[in-house]
Amino acid sequence: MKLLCCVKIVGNFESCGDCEWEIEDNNVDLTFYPKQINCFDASCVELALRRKKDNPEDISLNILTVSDGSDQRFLKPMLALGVDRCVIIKDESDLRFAPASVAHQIAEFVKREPQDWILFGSYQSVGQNGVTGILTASLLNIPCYTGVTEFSVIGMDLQITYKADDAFLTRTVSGGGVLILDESVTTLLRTPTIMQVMASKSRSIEVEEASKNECDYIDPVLCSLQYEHTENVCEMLTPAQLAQRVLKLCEEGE
Amino acid sequence: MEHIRAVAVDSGYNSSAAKDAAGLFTYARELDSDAELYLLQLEHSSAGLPETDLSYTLLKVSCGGSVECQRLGNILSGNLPDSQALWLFAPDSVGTQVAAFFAVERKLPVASHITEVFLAGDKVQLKRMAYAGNLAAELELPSNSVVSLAKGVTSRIKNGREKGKIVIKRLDDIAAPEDLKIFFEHGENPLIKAERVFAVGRGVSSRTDLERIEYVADRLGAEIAVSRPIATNGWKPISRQLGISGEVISPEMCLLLGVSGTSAFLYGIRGAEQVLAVNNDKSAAVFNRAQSGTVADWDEFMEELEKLINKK
Amino acid sequence: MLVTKEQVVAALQKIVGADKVSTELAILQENSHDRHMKFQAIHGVFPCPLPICVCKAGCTEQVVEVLKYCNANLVNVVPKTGGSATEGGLQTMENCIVLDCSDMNGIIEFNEEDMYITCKGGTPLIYVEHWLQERGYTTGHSPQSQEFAQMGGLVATRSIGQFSNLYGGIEDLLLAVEVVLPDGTVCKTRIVPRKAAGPDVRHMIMGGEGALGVITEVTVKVFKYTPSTMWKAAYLMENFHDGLNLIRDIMVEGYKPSTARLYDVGDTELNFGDVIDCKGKCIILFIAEGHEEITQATGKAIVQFADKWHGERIDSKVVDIWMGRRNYTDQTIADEKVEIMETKKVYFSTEICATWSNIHKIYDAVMARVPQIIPNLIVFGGHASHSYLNGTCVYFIYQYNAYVDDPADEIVIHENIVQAISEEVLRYNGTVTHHHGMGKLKAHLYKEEFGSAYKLMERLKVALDPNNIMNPGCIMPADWKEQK
Repeated sequence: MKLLCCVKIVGNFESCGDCEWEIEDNNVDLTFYPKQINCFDASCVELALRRKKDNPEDISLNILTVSDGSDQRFLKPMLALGVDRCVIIKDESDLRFAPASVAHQIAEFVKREPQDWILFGSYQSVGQNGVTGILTASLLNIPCYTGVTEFSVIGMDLQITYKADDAFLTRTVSGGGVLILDESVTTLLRTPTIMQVMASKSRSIEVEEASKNECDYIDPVLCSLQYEHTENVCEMLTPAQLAQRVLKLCEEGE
Repeated sequence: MEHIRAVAVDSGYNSSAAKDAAGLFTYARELDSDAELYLLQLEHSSAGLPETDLSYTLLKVSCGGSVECQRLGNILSGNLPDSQALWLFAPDSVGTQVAAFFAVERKLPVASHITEVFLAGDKVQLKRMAYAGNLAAELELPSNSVVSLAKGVTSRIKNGREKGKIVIKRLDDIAAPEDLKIFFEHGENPLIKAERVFAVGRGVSSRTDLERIEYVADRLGAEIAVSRPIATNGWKPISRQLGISGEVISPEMCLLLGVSGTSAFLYGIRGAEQVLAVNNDKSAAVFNRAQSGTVADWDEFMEELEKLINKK
Repeated sequence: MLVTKEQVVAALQKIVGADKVSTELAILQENSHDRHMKFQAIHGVFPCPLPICVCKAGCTEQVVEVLKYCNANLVNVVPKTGGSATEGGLQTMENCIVLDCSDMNGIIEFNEEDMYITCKGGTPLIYVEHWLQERGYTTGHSPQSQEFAQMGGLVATRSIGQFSNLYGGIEDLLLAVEVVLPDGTVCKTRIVPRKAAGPDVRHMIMGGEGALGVITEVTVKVFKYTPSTMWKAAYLMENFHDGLNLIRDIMVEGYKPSTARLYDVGDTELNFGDVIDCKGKCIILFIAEGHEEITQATGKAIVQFADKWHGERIDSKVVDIWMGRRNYTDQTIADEKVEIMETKKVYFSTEICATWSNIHKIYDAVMARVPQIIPNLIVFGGHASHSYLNGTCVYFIYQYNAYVDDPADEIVIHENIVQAISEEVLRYNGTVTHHHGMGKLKAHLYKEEFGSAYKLMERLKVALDPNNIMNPGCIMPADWKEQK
């Protein structure tokens, strides 16, 4: 069974706390910004690694990203963790708000190198688009299962658990397709040991050029990127005064 | 300018489905007074119908308890009008997924998690959070597109309105998978309907302190919510976490104790009417959102509140 | 112990009030350990005997009465403030109470003319620091535990901060201290810049790790706070030894950047790999503080020395990145908990110090030996961040997957690592603890650590704590008398 995890390297925006956002030409310079594998994609890879660990002979696990190729050092640890291949589709265009373009590249890759199941995290934290997996499934004309919280391998099928609002449903799916994890899945990705890193030193990330074929879907056009500062005047009170206000509001609401 | 068609999806497992639908319909009509309104309701739903005086088409489908978003998108595509329109979908998680499947079925552009919609001739301008909720992106699509709204965007609808005219249309059944099993981890999250919420942040540094606040909140009929550090600590379940990757709530009153006010957290209270904040740092971002506040330690404030309550 | 546990609780309730004495299981468990046993605590395992109770004292007088009672009845006492200790110093033992002084919280005096601030022992450092910065001053003391540590504990462990190259460690910052001895005697030193009236008794108390008394009041120096004139720079060095030599040059020539922080390859990748491509090299960060003339001159000298040692200058934004995330916060502690639970990945550090002629040998010896003994090792490295005319401190850091069936077994892995590092350090005449303290983790090494001066430590302990009730097992083993 061939599993393909689609990942994106993004800024670790939560680690920055209160840093200033310098926006120029609708772009944010992340040169010195801490980066990481998008947390939802990392969950995807961890779940897939667990399945591979259960079935090392039967499962081949590949990692794919569409990017400008500057993020190889974030992908190398996955080679150390035992994934079979790491591929970068090199595309230097602005892909932050372009899920259709990204889906197109993924679909073109899969057409060249068929996979059984293609896995996505729920959304990437830069563009927060959330539709890349669905677009990929449509371009490949394959089934797509969303809100997935867990999956296990049964032969060539998968048993999946997926979330639909407040309910969890399980079923078996077969014949291949796309799985998109639910945003509640935040499983941490393991870190390779030094021995694993040394054993994988000779392995390299593969880089392929982006397809020039036309995409069937269009992406939104980014008009502006802004830091929104609300003009709010907060009435500052003493603790006693604020407590009275809170009590009054609570009593009014009853 | 394209016509608007709004589609709410009741998966059968969303206890707020009727309220979400009513909110979407109102939102759509505020954008376009002639907006066509649809509610796709899976037959196993017990959510009831939206309490709105707006007329809409109710599309009923039986799925044997399953929720197959891709199939639902296909079915909608086959049963909704073909003509060009701006399609708006409700901000629940199933609705967002169905919106995307509907879009790809119709080969239409799609954008999700949208916080604002502006109609501009043959284009539609959209706003969405970006960079983990820290920035706002303005995007543009042709007006013949599919848009699903972000959590917390549609307005709160009060109960008690007369019902409008409903046209019912029955769609073809969808067979459920043979081995389908359904289970629930927890009941409805009390935060969703809470009118008064005390939200606790990392300024509150122990479980005992949290319990003290919870006791006071309970006496005032308020629910407890937490920011991410508190939820990560395990002091409260993750369902109580507010923010862009947690719950988004719209209480009448929200008291923030020891919350610094990151964009990601504040998104979780975007619908709150009255926000009051307590933080010992006068430059805390939370004061940019609160209508009233005090620069003090949270326990100093709690002492005052406890005194007032005990007097009563 | 001469009384029952119930009698202890009743007596302490009389002294501090019933609501300040807790026997709740969760509270006892939380107070039975420090960060040395974080892996166990996160898994709900508490290997140390639980204390009888946790007693919160609100003032010096209450501390006096509590200690008098405990001393008379041979009840062991573990003093505690912020709880950020890392070497087992706060681990509890049989028949003990935890004396929590964190309610002793407040600024007593700020003297702008004489440039000092006096605080109660349980005052959080972060509160003091913010309070001073609002007024244009700073303590100059910035340990990684800044958000949690309290003034008394910082003195008890001979702590040091990340800007120590300029401001010094706590021993340089402390002007005066008040301590309550085990028999209830209150000793308070006077505030003078310097004196020669016999030995400096402050140094008898500083670093006592709760084994000699309870620190109830602290007076530290304050400095002008001038963030706008900071000079910052960052370099990539070919190797750790070149970086050490660069720092030595700076210190020996008399320059005092507040930060000269060198990471080896492994530590560089761990701390900065998500920000820049470190190219398998070692990062070194510099910050100079003070008046602009001073910072510019210091910066100019650093540039020259860095050129001499073939440093490759990189964008100083890296320094800002480090500044922004250098300390523990509630969020990082909470994230650590989740990471340990989910991945079993655990991180520790062991900080040592030695002279220039020995530090290179220690680093090489530790790097050659210790990684081999750690199962499932993810990273082993080190950084040098507190330097002196005569030598420097190296923090060895290590992260491993603790794949153990019983969480208590992880302690063995950690202790083996610390033992191996300590052996190499002592072999080359270094100290096994630069600023975290001996705790209980390294107490068995006290004779080697003190050299023949261990007798001074023993006699001090006998003189101040003849009944051996104060944190037994800390600095020296609990049975040190029997070992003689």
